[in-house]
Parts: sequence; C-alpha cells; structure tokens
Amino acid sequence: MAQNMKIDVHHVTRVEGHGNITVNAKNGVLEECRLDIVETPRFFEAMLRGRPYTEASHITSRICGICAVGHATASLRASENALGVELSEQAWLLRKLIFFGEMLDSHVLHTYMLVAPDFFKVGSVIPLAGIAPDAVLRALRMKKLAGDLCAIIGGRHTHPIAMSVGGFTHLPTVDELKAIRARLIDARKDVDETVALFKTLPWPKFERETEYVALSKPDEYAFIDGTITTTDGGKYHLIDYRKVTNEKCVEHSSAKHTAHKRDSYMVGALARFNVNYKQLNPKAKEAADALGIKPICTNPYYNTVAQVVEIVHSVEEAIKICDELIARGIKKEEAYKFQGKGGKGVGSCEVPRGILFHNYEIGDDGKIVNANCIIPTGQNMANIEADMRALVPQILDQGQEKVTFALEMLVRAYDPCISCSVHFLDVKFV
Amino acid sequence: MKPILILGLGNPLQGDDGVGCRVVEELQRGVIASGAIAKHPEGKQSPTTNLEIASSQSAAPLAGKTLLEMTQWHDIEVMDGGTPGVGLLNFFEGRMRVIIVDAAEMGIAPGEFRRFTPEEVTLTGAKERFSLHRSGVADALALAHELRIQLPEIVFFGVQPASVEWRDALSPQVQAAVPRVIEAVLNELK
Repeated sequence: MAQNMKIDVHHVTRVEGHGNITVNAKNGVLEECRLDIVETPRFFEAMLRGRPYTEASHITSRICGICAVGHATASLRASENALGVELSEQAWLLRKLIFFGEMLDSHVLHTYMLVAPDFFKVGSVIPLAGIAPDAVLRALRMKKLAGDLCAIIGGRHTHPIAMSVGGFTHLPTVDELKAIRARLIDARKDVDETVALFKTLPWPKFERETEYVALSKPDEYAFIDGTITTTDGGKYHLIDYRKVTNEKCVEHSSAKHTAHKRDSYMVGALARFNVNYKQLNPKAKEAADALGIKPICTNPYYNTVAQVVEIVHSVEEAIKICDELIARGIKKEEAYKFQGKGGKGVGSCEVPRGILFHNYEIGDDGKIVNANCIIPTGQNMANIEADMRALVPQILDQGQEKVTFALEMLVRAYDPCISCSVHFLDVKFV
Repeated sequence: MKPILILGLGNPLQGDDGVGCRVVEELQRGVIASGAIAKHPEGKQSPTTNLEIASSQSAAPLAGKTLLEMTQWHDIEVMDGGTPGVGLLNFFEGRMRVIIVDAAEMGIAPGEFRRFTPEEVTLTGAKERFSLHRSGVADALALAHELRIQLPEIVFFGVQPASVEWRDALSPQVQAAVPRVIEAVLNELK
C-alpha cells in the first residue's frame, strides 16, 4: 500500500469546539502531524479584571455549559483562598454533591453520545438511538438525574446561581435530598448496564507512556482541592501550579501547550485513575476490574473507560453525601462578608476533562486585579499531538480511511472541550 | 398528566432568537392591559433588559384580563426553556399538549409569525450535522422519533427574526409582534 498519506479533517465531529487534524506522511515518514485549534479566543481572563470578586464565579461558569459547576467551584476556591474564607462542613458536602452531579452529566454525555457512536459505526447519537434505543434512553435518564441533582443544589440546571464565595445563597430541602437520593439508588441499575455495555466495546490498542497529572488527597479520590501530583514524582502546592503547567504559545493553535517532566502530559479521567486508583470506592474498583483497566494504564483511548469507572464512583459517593446531609439536616448559614482586605489565591479542581486552575488577585476594594485560568483541555493539547505522532506510523499501512478514523477517535477519547481551552495572545507592537 | 405547557425557546443574547423567552416572560407577568403589556401588579421586574412593547390594537379585546382568567378552564404552565438541546425531551415528559414559541427562519417578513405542527413542516436539523452544543428542536424531535418516544400534541408558533446577531434586545419588528403572538397563543388555549 502507498505510504504517502495526506489527512485533513476539517472540524472534527463529536468534540466540543472546533479543531482540525492535519497529517502529512511521505514514504512512510511523518512530516506533519498537528491538531490545529481554530476556535476563537474567549477573553474571560480579561473580562474579570476590574469586576467585583462576587461576580467571578458567575462570569467564569459561562466559560462552559457542561463544566459550569467545575469552573464556578475553581473560581470560588480561588477567591476563598485569596480572601482566607473557610467553608463549613455543610458547604463542603454540598459543593462535592453538585460536583458529582456534573461529573455524571458530563461523563454520560461523553461516553454514550460522543464516543459510543464510533463503536456502532454511526455518525451521531440520533442514528444510535435507532439501533440501540435502550442505551440512549438510559443515557438520557442518567443525564436528567444528573441535571436535576445540579439544579436542586445550584439553583438551576446550568450555571449554578446558588454557589457563592463562602457557601450557598440557596439550600436544598431535606425532602429534595431524599427524593434525589432515591433516584440515585434507582440509577444503580443504569450504572451497572453502563459498565456492561462499555465492557463489550473493542477499544483500540495503542500504548504510549506519558506523564499523568491530577489533584490528589490522602483520604479521598480528589476532585476539589488537594496536592498537584504527577506520575513522574511531581508533588506541588496549588500556588505552585505554574511549575507544572509551563504554558507556551504555539503557532498553529489558539490554545497554548503545557509540559512538565516530558514534552507533554495528560490530564483527565485516565490521569486521575492512574494517580488516585487507591482512593476509588469498592464499587468503582469492581467496575475497573470488569472493564479491564488498571493503573498505570497508558492507552489514551481508555480515558473513556476511566470515565465509566468515575460514573460508578460518582453515583456511590453522591448517595453517601445525601445520606450524610439528610442525617445532619440542612441549616441556614451566615453569608461571608468582605473584610476590606484583598489577596492572591489559587483554586483548583478536577473537572470532567482534567485539572483546572483559577488564579486570582483581588484588591482591597474587592475588585479583581488579575486572573489566570488554565483549562484541562489546553493542558492535553501537546499530549494529543504526541499520541498522534506515535500512532500514525504504527497504522499507516491500514490506509487513509482507517487512519483518519483512528485519529478522530483518539481526539474524541480525550473528551476535549476546545471552546474552553483557547486563549488570547498578548500582543506588543515594537 | 402534567398541565399544558407554553414553552419559550431561544437565546435572549442573540437578538430575535430571544423572542420565545420574551413572550413567556410577558405571559408570566400575567396581565394584559389595553393597548400594551403592563408590568406585574406586584411590580415584579423582568430580570432581563427593560423592553418597551409597542401598543397593539389587537390586544384590546383581552384588555384587563389575567392569564389565569383567560385560561381558568385549563391547567397551564409557562416556562422559559432557553436552549435545551436534547434536554427538550424532558419538558415533554408526562404532558398532553405543548405550545412552543421560538424564532424560526421561514423566509417571510421579520415579525411575521406562523402556527404549525411538526407534521406540517420539515424541520431542518441534519443527523450528520448534529452537535450537542447547537442541537435544537429539530434534533430533539428526530431523537424522539428514533427512540419511539410518545410525544405530546405539539404546536409551534414560529416568529420570523430580522436578526440573530449578538444583541440583548429584539428588533423593532419582532418587538412589535410580541403582543400579537401572545394573543395567538392564548387563543390556542381556548
């Protein structure tokens, strides 16, 4: 077969945002291999400057419709760390509960609607619904549950209006928590069927060692706060996040690239799984066994499999938190009042796609002086390209169609949220 | 069975794409005074930008009546559905009848509106172009069809936009149409 190949996928489908895959191989040698990000810049960091800190989480939750709670959470933690605000135990439980709601929503969307169609050889979830209606109905059911869970804690389905610096402006009732808990218990059937389904899919075989980066905590599978931990031995306080990210601009991409000990690193469900496997709850570990994934897994296609494990973990943890909140009862708490002293802080959480950083400087007038947001998908860009460069030569002889499909599936496996990842360049005319 | 639902769809930040939300907002205020849509008697403000609704002769017959009075023989729910994508199907669950108000590209004059049912038209939302970020009504209905989900009786009021550019206000033509659309929706309930 000809070992010359030119691949140009304009706007990869079933990813959030716009990216083009460009591959050029001559005589079996890879000359060009890029994921071009063509999404327009978002300007969020600039938008925050001069705004009162109280607005930050509401503005930045608009970075994304699917990780709105994730952005809001990182944003609030950044402000809370900058201003020295402590959260009550109730507030922590509620923050975690809504976080699990979003994790469930996003992972169900990605696994069932963005990835599964590839294995059924269809273009989207609509024809998938025709050939596997039970699976799609299940996905819609789980998404509805997840959305409703977010709504009772966050005040609405998307962009959590009830989350604020220091806690919540609106609290769920014990009855609402009991009702959602009952639905979560019912959802265990759907979760089991999810594991059963994804266990049968023929995941592409491809291994490439890389560095995996995730938040970690000693006694729980970390999603909010923690120590930045890498499989190459990195361990950092949140304030030192830049020592891990080392962002740099690249010509073909409106998203910056990051690197730590190697030329790239991976964040997301697979990274979390590799770093924090020990802290998964027993049901999640069982699911991992059933799905055939164990740490350290170096197959990027298994990021989706790790997400299925996290679906199991999230539902069980959400039930536990509901139990605890129902037993404690819900108490109205005093809102935080700004003390007239600003500060600098970093907030970090593991949104569905990986580790997210919000870093704010707040002035003594309560206005934001500076903001920096480093999005997980941006941190994956260099790793995706490194994977592509390693994969293409291995499968070049399979022909253009198969190689293109393999690359599209590879990009999809990362669950990239491209719109979130683009940045604006600081231009100085000399 | 859940009450009849009047569902406004669209993005109020994209000009006339917000017409569905605007109609629902006015219905939620619930009072139609002669010649113009008045504010809620308790002075509840709309959370969105203040909008001056042009006075309309045709609103006069409904003058002084509340939404409740107009529809007291039905159970009615009025909701702003935003841009729900496939989540639209959640609004249909357990309902017998849903009236949707949305901007629709129909090739007619801006501000004009049409009443139609899904069966009467071809709603464009290609299966291949399906994107979870931009999936709309057509995609949700296509999904329902594939899943053989029992749908309620659906009636659309499509309002022709003048512009759906980034702007948090309706065009004058569509603004002027809002009272007429409201009247048509209320007549639908009789």
